[in-house]
Amino acid sequence: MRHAPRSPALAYGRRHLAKRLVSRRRNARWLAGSPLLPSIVGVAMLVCAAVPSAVLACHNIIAITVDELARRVTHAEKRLTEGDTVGAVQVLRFALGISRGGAQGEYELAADPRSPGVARVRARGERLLAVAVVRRDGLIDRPRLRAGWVPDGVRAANFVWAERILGNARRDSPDAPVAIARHAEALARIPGRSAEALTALGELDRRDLVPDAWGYAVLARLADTRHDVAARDRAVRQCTTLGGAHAGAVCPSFESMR
Amino acid sequence: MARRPARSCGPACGLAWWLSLSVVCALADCARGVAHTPEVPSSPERGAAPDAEAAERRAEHASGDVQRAATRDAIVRGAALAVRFECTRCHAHAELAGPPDDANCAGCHAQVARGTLDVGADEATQALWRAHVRSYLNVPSLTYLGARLRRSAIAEMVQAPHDVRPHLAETMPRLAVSAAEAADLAAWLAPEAEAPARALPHDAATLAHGRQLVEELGCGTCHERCGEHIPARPLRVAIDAESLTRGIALAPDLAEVPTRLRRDRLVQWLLAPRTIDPETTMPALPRSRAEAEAIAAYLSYAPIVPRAQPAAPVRLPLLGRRVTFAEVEERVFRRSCWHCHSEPDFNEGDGGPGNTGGFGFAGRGLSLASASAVRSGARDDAGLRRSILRSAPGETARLVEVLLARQREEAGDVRALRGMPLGLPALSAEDIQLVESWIAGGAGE
Repeated sequence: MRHAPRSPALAYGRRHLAKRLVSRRRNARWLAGSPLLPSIVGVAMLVCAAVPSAVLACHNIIAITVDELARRVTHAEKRLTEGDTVGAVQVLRFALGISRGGAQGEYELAADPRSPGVARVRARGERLLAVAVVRRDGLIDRPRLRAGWVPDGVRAANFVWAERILGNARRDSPDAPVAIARHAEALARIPGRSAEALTALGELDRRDLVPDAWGYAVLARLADTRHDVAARDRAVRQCTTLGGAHAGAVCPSFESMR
Repeated sequence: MARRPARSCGPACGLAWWLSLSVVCALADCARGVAHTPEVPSSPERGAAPDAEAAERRAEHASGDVQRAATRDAIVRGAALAVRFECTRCHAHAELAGPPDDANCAGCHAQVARGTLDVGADEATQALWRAHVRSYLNVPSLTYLGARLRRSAIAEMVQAPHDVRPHLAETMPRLAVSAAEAADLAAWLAPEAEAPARALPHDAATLAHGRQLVEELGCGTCHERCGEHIPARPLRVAIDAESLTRGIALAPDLAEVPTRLRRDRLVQWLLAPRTIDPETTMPALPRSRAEAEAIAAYLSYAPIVPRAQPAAPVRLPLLGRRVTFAEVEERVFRRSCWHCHSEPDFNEGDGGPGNTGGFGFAGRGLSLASASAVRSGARDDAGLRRSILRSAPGETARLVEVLLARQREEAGDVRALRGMPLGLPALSAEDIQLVESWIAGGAGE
């Protein structure tokens, strides 16, 4: 049995996809025989596969297996957790590109951004990009979704953008430790707001709710700037424990500890 | 934890006991020794202020009184509660619309098993899912339940589920249902009054004849009766393989008959089951009314042989090596926990009953989809988020507590803390050891 699309927006997306492909077929006769054709067909197939399924039954298990967008966002999240920020941005380039609707040429056909399902996954991807911006020291060309050098003004604007995105996520889920910790990461990079970051992460630490090694990495750095060596060393130990095999890429090391 | 006194029905019960029509005997769940009654403070039936309806039901049980027709208000309330508790996630009912595809546990599993779940997965992935899906492939329909079951038995099952079907791994989940709500749900499912039943002869010869027929007609192919050995003889009627598989899976323990089945329908149920439940796979086996009555007498009055009660598995010591989250995720979280504790972003905001809420539960905000999600804890009864991994010296982390609680529940020791996975088989001692060792090692990546 084929499940009917739950969302009218997704149904619209599929109709739109079919219509656009038909209209483009007329305009693309010149492509016949072109050496570009196999590549274009390949991209089109990939794009079609990336249409998020209307059925996300059984929750994450099926969604992450069959939904290309969800799978890529999850992959980016994993890279980010492991400390591979550049790799995460590379994965996000495709995931966010196809879900922006209109900004990426052919990719616009892939997913209707008005669909609530796509919007949620895209928002999750944007949050990941914001985290990557913070962890990459602001050095990400956001419009092109590439890690690399950017002018100081852009870097500062990146931090402001990341704080806004992660602050909104925290407002949406005020008791979610992941949202709190990631917002705190962003706050810690904004001059004059590190005290807020320390308060938020300290509270999570007190309740044993710091969600990952990154939270402790920020705590360690904040403690170091306050010359609180005991707190810093404890945070580094916690970071190392939670980071596991990826602790080397995540946790800071300090002169006095070596 | 206060245990309810054992209602043992072993040989010690004696002849006088069963001849005195003590149908309460069968309530004792064979030899479990304890009733499955969680400590639910909000439940009037269990607490200090028993309501009139609950008292009435108990009296009905004890005296064998017939049930009266349910009130219209109770039926209406019950139908609304069936929606609130999302009964159709697992069960079908002709009066209720099916759930959306992404909340249809039984429907999704059935489609995976048949290979008809069309979500764009390739053949290899579908084969993998088929191999993994074992639960909710056989779920009783609710449509005709009340035509054969007593209202009091349904109410008890809803409020304090116990294992009725020995061949089915999963059980009715322990929902947060009060006694009054359970009564309303039962009223909706079984609204009719029970007709006075003709007393069946139950002398020793009749019971022996009934026992012989149960064996001869092949009832043991599908059914058990506590610790009593009923040989699986060939059925005298042809039944297709699919119906037989479903019949075996759903066949209730026959020791439940005196308290579960309506006395006015028992003989008819044995003689022509499809006249009571057109969807049943139960074949009509007795060759005459006399045979059906002898079987009914045996099922209603013969003493119950206790079944050996398996103890909860022994808790294993921590592993002497580092356990990664990937290991725990692969062996534990991803196999069953994820279904109810998932990431809402990938399912249009629905993170499952254990995360964003469902089955009548408020959202606990617990996702088990990543290490950081597990470390983010869950909301307690007061709505305050707490770690499920933290434990004071000498105490056990909440996550491990609920896993151990499920093992205890399967061994008949039911307490206030709900065991997890809810309604599914308990994790093995080795799997719990893995989770515990991961937590002890710092619960990192």
